[in-house]
Amino acid sequence: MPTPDFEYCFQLPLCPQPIAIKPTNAANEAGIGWIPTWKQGIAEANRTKKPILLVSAAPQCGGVPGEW
Amino acid sequence: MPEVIKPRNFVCIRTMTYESAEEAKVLRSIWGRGDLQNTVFAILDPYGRPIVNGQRSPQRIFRDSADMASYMDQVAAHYRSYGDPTWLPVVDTVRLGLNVAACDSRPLVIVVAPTKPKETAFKPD
Repeated sequence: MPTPDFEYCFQLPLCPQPIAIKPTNAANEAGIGWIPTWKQGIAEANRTKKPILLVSAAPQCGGVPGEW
Repeated sequence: MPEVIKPRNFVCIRTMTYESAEEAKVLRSIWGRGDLQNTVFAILDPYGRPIVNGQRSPQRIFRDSADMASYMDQVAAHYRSYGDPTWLPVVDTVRLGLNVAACDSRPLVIVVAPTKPKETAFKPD
């Protein structure tokens, strides 16, 4: 199965459809460099003065635990 | 064909878990109402203040990916931002790091050290 050349903003079963995001140019072809914690992310935003795109999802739906 | 979004104009934060009390506190303040939901989406300024208040998903705000991309371009144009990441993001536990690396098909570096490594130790060459 070929590897898709885009990343989903987030993806969970039984949840709203994801929006596919495609990098714009060769420099971004590696995809989105997600920062995994708020502390690191806000520090980077403060440093670069870039706005923040924040997404988060829990491995559970309706109180039923799931898996990542 | 999905609209193209320019991720380098934004700091993209994806908190990996709701298991962290510290992260949950931040998400709860961004969500801003009632119990924290199992998905949160927001667009914030460089200081963490909301531009798009916490929502369940982008679909609650934007018609489609083109609408979202256009809006994000407008937001990015307001900021005189600069630079790219000069360090590798650090994950506190191997379990979470493995999960994320596996899901994203990304390489993973695991460091075993007597003290907690600092972010500056992971500047890519």
